Amino acid sequence: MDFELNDNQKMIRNMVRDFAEKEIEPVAAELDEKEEYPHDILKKMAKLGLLGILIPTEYGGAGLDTISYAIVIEEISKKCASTGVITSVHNSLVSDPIMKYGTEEQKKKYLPLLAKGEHIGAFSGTEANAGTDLGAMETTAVLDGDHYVINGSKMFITSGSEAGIHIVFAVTDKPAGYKGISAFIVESDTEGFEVGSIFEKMGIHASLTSELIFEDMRVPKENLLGEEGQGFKIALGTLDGGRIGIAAQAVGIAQRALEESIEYSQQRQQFGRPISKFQAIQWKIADMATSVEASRLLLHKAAFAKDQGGRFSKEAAMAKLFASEAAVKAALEGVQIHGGYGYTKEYTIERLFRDAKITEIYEGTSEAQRMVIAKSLLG
Amino acid sequence: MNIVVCAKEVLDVSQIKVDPKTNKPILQGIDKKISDIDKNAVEEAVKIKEKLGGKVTVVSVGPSEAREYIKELLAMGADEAKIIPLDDTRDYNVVSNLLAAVINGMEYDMVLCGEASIDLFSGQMGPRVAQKLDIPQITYAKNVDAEADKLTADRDLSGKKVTVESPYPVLLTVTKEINEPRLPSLMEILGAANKPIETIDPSSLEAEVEAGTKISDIKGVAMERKNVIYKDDIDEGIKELVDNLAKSGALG
Amino acid sequence: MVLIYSNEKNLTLEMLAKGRELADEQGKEVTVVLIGEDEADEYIQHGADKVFVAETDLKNFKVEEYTQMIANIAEKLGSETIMIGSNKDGNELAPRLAAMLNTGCVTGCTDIYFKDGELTTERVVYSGNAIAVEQFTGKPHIMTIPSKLYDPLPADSSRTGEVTKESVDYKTFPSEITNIQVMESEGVNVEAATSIVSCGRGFKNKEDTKMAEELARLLPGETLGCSRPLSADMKWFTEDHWIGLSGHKVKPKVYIAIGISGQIQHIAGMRDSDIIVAINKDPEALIFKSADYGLVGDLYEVLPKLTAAIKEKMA
Repeated sequence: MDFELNDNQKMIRNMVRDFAEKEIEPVAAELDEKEEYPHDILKKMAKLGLLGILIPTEYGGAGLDTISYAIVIEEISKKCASTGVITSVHNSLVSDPIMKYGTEEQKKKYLPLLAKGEHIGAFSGTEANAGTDLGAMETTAVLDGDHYVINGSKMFITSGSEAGIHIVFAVTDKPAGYKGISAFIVESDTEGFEVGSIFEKMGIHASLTSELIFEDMRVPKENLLGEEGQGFKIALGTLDGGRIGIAAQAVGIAQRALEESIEYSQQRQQFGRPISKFQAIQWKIADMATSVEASRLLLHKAAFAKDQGGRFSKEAAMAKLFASEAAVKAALEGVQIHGGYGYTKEYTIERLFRDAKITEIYEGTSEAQRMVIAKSLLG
Repeated sequence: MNIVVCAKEVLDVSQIKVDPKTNKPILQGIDKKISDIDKNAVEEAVKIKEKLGGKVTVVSVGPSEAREYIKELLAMGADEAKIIPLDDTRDYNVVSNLLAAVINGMEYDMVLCGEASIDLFSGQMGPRVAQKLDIPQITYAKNVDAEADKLTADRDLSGKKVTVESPYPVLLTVTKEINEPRLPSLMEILGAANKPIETIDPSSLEAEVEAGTKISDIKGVAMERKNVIYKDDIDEGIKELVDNLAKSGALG
Repeated sequence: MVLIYSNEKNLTLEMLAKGRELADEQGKEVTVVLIGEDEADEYIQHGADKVFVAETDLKNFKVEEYTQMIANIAEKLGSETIMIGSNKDGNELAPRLAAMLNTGCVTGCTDIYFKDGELTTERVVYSGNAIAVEQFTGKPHIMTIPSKLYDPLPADSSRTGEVTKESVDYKTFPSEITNIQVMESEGVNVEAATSIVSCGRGFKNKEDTKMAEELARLLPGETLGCSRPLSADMKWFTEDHWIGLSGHKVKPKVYIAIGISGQIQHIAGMRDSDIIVAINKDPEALIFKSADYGLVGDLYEVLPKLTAAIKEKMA
């Protein structure tokens, strides 16, 4: 048993930390304020291989392990949670299923594009009436000659308006229920693909989240991912991996909240001494640090489990559940430690507070994680 | 072009805090990293290699865990590294003699160093190594143009720019302004694992290892500032501040 | 025997004051070395026992040759303590000299004294967070000493001393100075300034730094400084304005940092100021930790108000 990162993982952490400090930190607050998508940052990340972390080297990626992946997402999210989730979706919700279920042709065509960042990826599953309950999906795909004709709409799609490559889920066989869902690789310049409204959100402002509308969108037959009817399985399997990404994002947010709180509490003087000298603050900081540490351990354990090749749904769900709740709590306490200043936009903790909440919601709410965990224990 | 870069790991000085009781810096538990300006030296070496071809070798005297940090320089594009493990001293005389002894045993055209390390900022290593190798030194280089048979560098001296030309071999120390060190990509980081790192036993080298100085104490710096921060009522703050400045005689 | 060398006259005179003190404590002599210059008498008047004038054809300071000359002179005179002026030339010369003489060297000493009979030096380390106290293990002791640390002794025209003129052997190195370009400079000496108004990245363009200039004009010396990026990267200011670890180290009575974030390298250059005032819109900016007075706000609003208030106060 060894809790040390290996040399490569440490180097990766240092590199991403340097990158985030130099390239993300100076613009993060402005991107948040202007609700601007981090195009430039993503371009630079692509050059460093950060958009192809898990993609095998033969398809232009770095072919790294999932712990390294978690380290990257944590370090990026520490500086900008929006860039964190975009990267997480791109790597684990889009590249991963193509690696796992794609045909050799699909892999050769799409993975290098994703690894080089020529296209950002989006995972288009959620609908207005189908969130946690994916089985309620209404978008349909009907085979017509060499093409599937897809009709319907999607909701809350991270990078929906910006991505070039989408994994789209649609019903190919309605009576079969969730076994009638299929997955498709869709290029955003396909005729019939339209971006609907972009949502105004509480947090992660720089990650544009949109509605997508498909109107008689003709997708070549060879873009079916996996087999017809395999969509639900692909979605669930993919989301297990995605949850590791979101857990990492949450750890990044929580870690930053802790760091900001430590710094502020040592600097802020009340009653003639820094507030860090008061036990009320010390206990908060101690609790925050403990849950950050616990979150990271669960995260790395889940990442390790994924790399062992077996099922890791429970581990991923636990990591995501615990880390996201820890992030929300850390940001909340962080604001409290900052007092009135923490409620203003001048302090980073305000953004962390707004950004943290979503980690309890997307890629499976906390309630859904508890369902997954309970099911694995109780059957 | 065979290029040698001298580099070392240092405490990340930006993390150092001062113990309010003893007023001494707390040096335990501080992360280590490659001294910033050494990365500029590696960057310049890799650029020269990209232009003229050749090989970049990093040489470092330091504690055994230095290996971990030296790998970062291999990821940046250096081809191999030689580490002389030495845990207990950082004496300039000892370290420069060891570095020179290793470099002397290699084929080299150019030696690059940072102008100083960011922890102690002495700036001794470059000139000492140059003297031991008996070669010219070009310090504080902020612009280097290396050609096959000679090198031209602009030196950044206070108030003047001195251009120096030298044949090889030559030693250069570079400033932070000379370039922006590259961040290695994930692929380059993975590639670094396959690059050779040789460990050289210091006792196998013919070098004098007599320390020139000994540090008897690291004292704190008395830095007491009033830390009166005006945040909400700036107008009132300015009034108070100007009164205080006037009282102290700072307004002349 | 104490040997003193700098290619800057002021520095030589300042070191001479300290060298005299150290020599007197041990009952030794002080020799000033001049290379390629000739006004020996002045150094005698300011405290030197001997002046050694090395005659040379070299037109400019060239470290490889100068090192050999000084090493030869030091060996010839049996120098035990060698004080070199801590400018950029001196700081590349001293360690090369130390390597040649196989001895210890301390650069940028901020204090020199005898402790338990041992010559002891202090210098700032860890980006200004600490002071290293160091002794030498062998001889000669080599130190570089920054300017403005000591005041020159008053000239005493009755003093006498010995002046030696000799040419000293050295081997020529193949490197060659091909050009010396005096950098565009406004002739500002921030190191001697009694007040400094210093600009950082908070200024959106060069034009706006006029606001800082206006404030500086109200203060004694009317001196403007800047942080690294404004000189090294943006070139809004010539290098004589640059304050920091790689720039100039200053100690004015009042230092007003405007729109400077307070990177540790900058702090190291100005931490010895008597009073430090900071204006920054980021309440978390590091500069506030090193400030006596901080104004949190947009410099575009705060600075004109501060200038007006000082104007009013002085009226």
